[in-house]
Amino acid sequence: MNNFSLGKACRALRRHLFPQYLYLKMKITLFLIFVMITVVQANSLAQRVSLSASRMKMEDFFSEISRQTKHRFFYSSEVARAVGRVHVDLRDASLEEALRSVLDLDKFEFKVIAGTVTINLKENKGQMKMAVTGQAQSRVTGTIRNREGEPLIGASVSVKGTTRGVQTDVNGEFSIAASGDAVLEVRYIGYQVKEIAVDNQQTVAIVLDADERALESVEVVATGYQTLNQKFFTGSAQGLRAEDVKRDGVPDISRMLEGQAAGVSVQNVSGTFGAAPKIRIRGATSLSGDNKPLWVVDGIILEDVVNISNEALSTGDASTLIGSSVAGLNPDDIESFNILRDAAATALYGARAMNGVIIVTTKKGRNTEGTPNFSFSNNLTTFLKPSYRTYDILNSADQMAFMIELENKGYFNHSAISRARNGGVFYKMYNQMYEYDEASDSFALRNDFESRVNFLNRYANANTNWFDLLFKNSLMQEHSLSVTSGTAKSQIYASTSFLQDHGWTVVDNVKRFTGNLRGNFNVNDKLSIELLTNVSVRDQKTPGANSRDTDAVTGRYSRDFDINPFSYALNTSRMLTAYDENGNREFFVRDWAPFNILHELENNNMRLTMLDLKIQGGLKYKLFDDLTYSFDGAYRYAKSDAEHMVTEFSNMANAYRAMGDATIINDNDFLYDNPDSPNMFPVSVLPQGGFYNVNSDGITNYYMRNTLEYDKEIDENHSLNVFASTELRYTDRQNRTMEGVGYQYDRGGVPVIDPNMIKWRTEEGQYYYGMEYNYDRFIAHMARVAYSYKGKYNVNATGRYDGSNLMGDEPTARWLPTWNISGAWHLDEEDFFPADQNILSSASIRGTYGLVGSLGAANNSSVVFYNRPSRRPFLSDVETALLIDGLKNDELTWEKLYETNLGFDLGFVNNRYTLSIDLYKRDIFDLIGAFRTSGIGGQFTKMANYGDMEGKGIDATVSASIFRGGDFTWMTRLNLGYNENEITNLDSRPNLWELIRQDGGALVGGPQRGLYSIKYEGLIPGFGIPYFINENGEESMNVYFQNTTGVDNLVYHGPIDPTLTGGLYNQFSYKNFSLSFLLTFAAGNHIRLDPNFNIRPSDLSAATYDYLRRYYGEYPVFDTNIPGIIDGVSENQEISGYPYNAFNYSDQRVAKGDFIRFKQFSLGYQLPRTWAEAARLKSASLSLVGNNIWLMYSDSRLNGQDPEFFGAGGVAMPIPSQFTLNLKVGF
Amino acid sequence: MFKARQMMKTIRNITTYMVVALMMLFSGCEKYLETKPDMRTDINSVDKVAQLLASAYPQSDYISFMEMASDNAEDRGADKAIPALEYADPYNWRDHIGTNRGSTTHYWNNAYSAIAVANHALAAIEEMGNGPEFQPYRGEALVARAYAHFMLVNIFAQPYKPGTENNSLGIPYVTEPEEQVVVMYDRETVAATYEKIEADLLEGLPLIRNSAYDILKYRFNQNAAKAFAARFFLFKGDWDRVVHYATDMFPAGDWIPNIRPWSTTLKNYTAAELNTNFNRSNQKWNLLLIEANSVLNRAVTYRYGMGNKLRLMFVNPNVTGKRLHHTVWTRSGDPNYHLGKTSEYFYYTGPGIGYPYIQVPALTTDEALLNRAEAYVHLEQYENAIRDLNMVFSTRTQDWNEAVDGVTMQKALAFYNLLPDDDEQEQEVGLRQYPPEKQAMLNVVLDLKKAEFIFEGLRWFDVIRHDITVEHNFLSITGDEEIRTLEPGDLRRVFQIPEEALLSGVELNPR
Repeated sequence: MNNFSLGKACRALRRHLFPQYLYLKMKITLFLIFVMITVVQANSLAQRVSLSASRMKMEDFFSEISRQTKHRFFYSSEVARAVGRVHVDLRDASLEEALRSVLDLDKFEFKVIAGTVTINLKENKGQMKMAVTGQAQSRVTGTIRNREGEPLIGASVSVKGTTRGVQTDVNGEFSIAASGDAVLEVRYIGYQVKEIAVDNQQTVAIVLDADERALESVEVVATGYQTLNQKFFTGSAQGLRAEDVKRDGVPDISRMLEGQAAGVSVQNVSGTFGAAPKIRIRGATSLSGDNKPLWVVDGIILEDVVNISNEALSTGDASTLIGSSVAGLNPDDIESFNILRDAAATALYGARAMNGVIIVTTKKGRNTEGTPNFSFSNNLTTFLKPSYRTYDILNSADQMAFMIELENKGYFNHSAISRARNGGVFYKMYNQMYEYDEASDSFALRNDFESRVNFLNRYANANTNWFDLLFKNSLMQEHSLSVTSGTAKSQIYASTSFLQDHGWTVVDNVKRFTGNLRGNFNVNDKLSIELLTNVSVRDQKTPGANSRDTDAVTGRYSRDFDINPFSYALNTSRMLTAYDENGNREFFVRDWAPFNILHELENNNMRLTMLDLKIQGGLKYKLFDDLTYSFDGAYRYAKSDAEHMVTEFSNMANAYRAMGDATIINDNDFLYDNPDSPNMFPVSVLPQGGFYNVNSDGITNYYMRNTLEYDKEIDENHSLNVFASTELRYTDRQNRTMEGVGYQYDRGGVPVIDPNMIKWRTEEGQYYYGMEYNYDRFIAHMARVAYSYKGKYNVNATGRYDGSNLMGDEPTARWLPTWNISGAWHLDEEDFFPADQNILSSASIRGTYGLVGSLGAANNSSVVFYNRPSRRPFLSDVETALLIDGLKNDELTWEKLYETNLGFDLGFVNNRYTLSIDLYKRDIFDLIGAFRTSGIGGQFTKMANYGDMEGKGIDATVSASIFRGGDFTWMTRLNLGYNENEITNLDSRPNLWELIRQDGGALVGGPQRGLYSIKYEGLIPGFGIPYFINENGEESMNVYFQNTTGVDNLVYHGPIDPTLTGGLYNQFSYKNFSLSFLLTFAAGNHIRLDPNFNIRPSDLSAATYDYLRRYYGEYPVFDTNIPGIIDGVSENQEISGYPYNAFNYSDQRVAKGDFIRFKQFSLGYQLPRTWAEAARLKSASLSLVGNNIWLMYSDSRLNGQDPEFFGAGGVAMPIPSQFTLNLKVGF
Repeated sequence: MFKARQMMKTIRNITTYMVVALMMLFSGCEKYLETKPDMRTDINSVDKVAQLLASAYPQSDYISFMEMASDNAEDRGADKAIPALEYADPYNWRDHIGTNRGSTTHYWNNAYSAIAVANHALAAIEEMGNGPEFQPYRGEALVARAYAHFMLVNIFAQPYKPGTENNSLGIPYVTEPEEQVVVMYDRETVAATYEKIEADLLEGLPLIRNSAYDILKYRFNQNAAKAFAARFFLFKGDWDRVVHYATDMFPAGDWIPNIRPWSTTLKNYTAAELNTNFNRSNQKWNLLLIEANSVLNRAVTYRYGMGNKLRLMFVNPNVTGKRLHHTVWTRSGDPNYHLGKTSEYFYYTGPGIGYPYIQVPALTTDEALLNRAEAYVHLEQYENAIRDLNMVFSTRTQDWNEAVDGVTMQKALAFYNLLPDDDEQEQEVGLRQYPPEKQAMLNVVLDLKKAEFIFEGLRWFDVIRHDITVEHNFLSITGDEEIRTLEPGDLRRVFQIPEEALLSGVELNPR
């Protein structure tokens, strides 16, 4: 928070706005001291004042009283000058007493209205008369509001060129004597100054625009735990007001940061509600840890319900749905964000802050003199269906031509495909040719050329639009109602919201309810209390999803029974039809059982319910002058249940009983091969019913913090702030799973359980239920000393001592001391700083050096023993075995980094243009990684602190108010973050697969995660089989993905995380209209294209247009790198290994991740006050918002596919293009 | 006026307050942070020591590489499935670099993991007072530790030659839990390693009690420990003790019902029954089974294995005049021959992912009996040797009639062309290190073991112990055959230690 005294900044403002002589003549100019509104901590709202100082500057006196009483002060520079320095010694005095003690009531008068103190010099009546002589005076009345339509209380209105001035009242109304040709000047701290011509009007409605610069300087010191006077703040941080970054129609607040903060990269790996975006602040710092920033909401660290690493976010597993803990927050409740980037800024968070901190501050009640102010917001959002135009998928005719070539080369024939696991058009054709009907003595399909052509013709012309069938332009509605009401003693903010998303696909939908209640109470002038309750409930439906598997041998990700509508549409041949000629659903075959996606989505889905409750309380007590004790405590309970409901009619259930013939029975791995009867055929152990599988996650979290703060201005030159706190966190996480077998959805829910199913699962080591607890205990002690000399030189030192149980039993690894020092030099406070110039208006330099730590992914400071069943085929032989999961590592320690940060903040032309640059360098060490030992101790690969990394980068923000103050305003802001890192030391030896997969891998000399590829060499003439440089450096079609040697033979492309990210934000307003748009961009990363190539493309899956450029023969008509189709005989003779799959992971299948995206636009209209009033509203506004509108640039290799989205399947979806109509009313 | 003194005083006061407050808080912190982060356990009871020792066995298969390097593997044709390098490298007598299952490094790592478990169990027992209730487990831990070291020294060091110094490099003998990331170890000598194995074995063996186990066959039960002792002393050349420990297994001499009934029960099994039941705990011949993370069962169709040449062991008449009556199965057609000994058990850790396992018959009655037979040969007690051999032959020969089919010294000498009138050329067929009678009997034992333990890897130990030259054929795609040999004394007869061992100051084997 900032106390705006009549300091330099204000003088500068005046200098710019008014000719000097006018300024000098002005007798009353009112300024608002805007104090501690966005502060997280409860401020003392006491009406009593205790203060003792000698020769205190008037400004400081007012700001101190303001701080203690939470009153705002208006006074002119004349007032301050006239009073001069004061000597005070107040103890428990009333506000009035305090003011009387310093103000000579003969010279000054003061009024206290609605928490606002106005101090005026008593007017010289004679002068006053002179000033008004010769002018026709009339009264002008009016209101002053902000863009949101909220009345601005205590705004100052003055008549330009005179000394007359008034303030607005509680309703934002004013009345002033002014001539018809006068110009009114309106000022309100935090808003831009506005001049309005009276133009002979009797009433005027004035809308003020927020002043970016002022607000940023206000927020920069909200560090979450402490609200530090800006002069003490020396770190690198960026504040964002929620209303500026707000993205109507995007219900998850984590996405609001996209493109808005320098150095913050937000990658939308999945757009499904609840899935967290991949957020990195200043890049990754850990090789094995989760690299996620810390979220702090209202001063309390927000723990994730499940710990999902950034990489796991792209798996599409059901657990990702609860990956975003902030998904339970209502965007309308957010007041501001603050991104803490460097060691000095994150100092208060110590051991969790290595990846940066995001401070979220929610709204709190205001003093409205008891009047309830309601605000209602309504969003109606509709989504665009994905379109084939933006994807690389063959149409059905081309697909059929491709399939016919396959058929000609012997792929589809009755014996080969009639009992296949999966089958499409050709499967159906060949089976129909053998389907004999005795009654008519005919086959379902005659085996002649004409019949076959006819049969295939229908499919060749189908051109099914799967996107159209599986997606809809449905509606999402959000309703949010909030009320704020308060007096000087107590303020309440309450809100409730309801979100209903009817779903982008035919299967998913979400309902979310949130409730938020926050009260601030001033018991007396020493004690204040804050209470906060936050609840959210979520009810979400998604397609049924199992977990993703990785097969390292063939290098494929697989997921049993994946029915993600987006991946289905992307991967399914457009030849297939959802409906047959008669309009009935047409089934093909998947996992030996009938499959139709629409049918399956109805019969196999997942329901996620989640309850998240947070109760928080804080109190502040003034022990002595300058010394405040505060306590904050919170309790959070969250529970989610993912119920995977697979009905007896689903393909998944039916695969468990697909027993077509002996071949199928032997092949079908969903049948049980009983080891006790080795001679028997496998049997179905799911004779009836489906599955009811539940996966529950829960978290119980306690948080407590005790703080002492000493804040003292020793004299005019020296000020000191000492802050010490201890915090305690207690988190228990529980995960439960249950596989309900044989549940009959259509028969009253009675399960039919074949005991052999349980036996089978037990023999395989897959238990039908499971439960696991994780315990996280954390204690920290910290102290910080900040000292400022004349506001020019600021020094800051922090020391911290963190303790955690996560590394294991050994006390040596339990504690970590960290520290940092930082300083800032405000050049503009120096005498030599040229005062009378308009170009460079402010300048400061910041510097930080310090140590930050983080817990790595190791827990074996003492030996770790786990239980597990021995892995033996017969249950009679199975015993519980204890095994060593990790040998003791008595050298285990936290991951750490030394950060050097150098920051420059410059303001030009009265801070109309500002530039903030931070350069940083990080020495990251003791990183935990897999370390290969001799194995002799009993553990070959140990998680040990053997990795080092270097990181460096630049964060820059440029903002400009190109036009301001008039009817037309234009504000623009550009954020840039550049980060690169390099692993300088690491022992792990990943296998090829770990480097070439889409998530990338870590190698010395490369970035934290780099993308590597198999080097493609060419196509074998005559066959078109691709060959490569294999792991041994030889030309070969056989690349062994599991090899850990020979990684030198891979091609390195670049990091998988963008090195450059940023956004360009523009905001225009003209009278009641406003327009803003946001462009986001990223560059420097590489993406692995979807693995489309397969030696035996199935008659189910979609081919890409690349296939049309495939190798056709020895004498090619064009040069190509696309493998050809190989006939069955050559396949057996020529192929070794998996060359077609290796092609998927070759350098031919990589694209650049660079993109520019037109992320958002918003067109708003503020209803004129008269209209609003006619409807008995205080304000009303309407806006149209578009999100994810246009991918303006991306690598052409992607063929239009979204560079951020991994075709992950499961529950993952790309982010849709959407349009939102937003209505906001205040009443 | 500058208020430095006032400021300093204030700081001092605050510091004092804080220090006092923090001191109070700290005392409670340690206890709070002692909470375990997850549901891990401590070894704090007899029961848990017992459970811990269930993982004191190397869960890796030595079969893959020992079989491939030995003369129990042949090239079945260049058109066969190309095996992973874990299989191809040992066949080519190349050092394998890699850690996958089936590799030497995999076995090295897992054997030392088993040793670490034993050491932790011993440390826990010591900590809990080493009372009488712990003794059977102390015994098991010692013998398990001896076993893992024994396997390691015989795979990764020069073979023990009785009667010599045995001062070539041994393997690190680990007796303490490792507590740092990198700890230095010393290989010492083969003699020193053997000495330590013997000490552990002799201390542990008498403590072992069958009653201590729930699942007898997966732990060092009394007979398994004796069988291991018999093997150890055979390798050490202490023949009397071989006889002693083997005899002690079945004091009544009732071996026949306890060894593999190839010509009866096993002959009647279907392929599926044999696969499932052969390495099963309820079979009397299995003394110690170890579950091993392995894809060995898939190797049956790989390029190297039992082909048309090795199959002859079960086709041609042997010293008895009859042939071995094992059924030779094929998978995916000739010449992918196998005896149906293993089946794969896939342990799922998640849907579709998990680990393939086989159950390794680490110690069997058949081996113990044949080890005793060999010891008798060395003791030149040929009658006893023949008695043991006939017991083995009787269970794997069709219509066994000891009077007609039984092994005799004459038959043995004749079969191996060791009769005095055989010419030198023909005598080259067999080994000739010993006098004819001893050599003949030894050949009978070794050939029987070679056939009996195919797909079990044990042939390699006989190769190195008896300086047997290994011949491997190499077929080109056109069918041309090249023969290469691995002569006694060749450094490649000792598998290479993983190069990571250098980190711990452990020397690699000379090459």
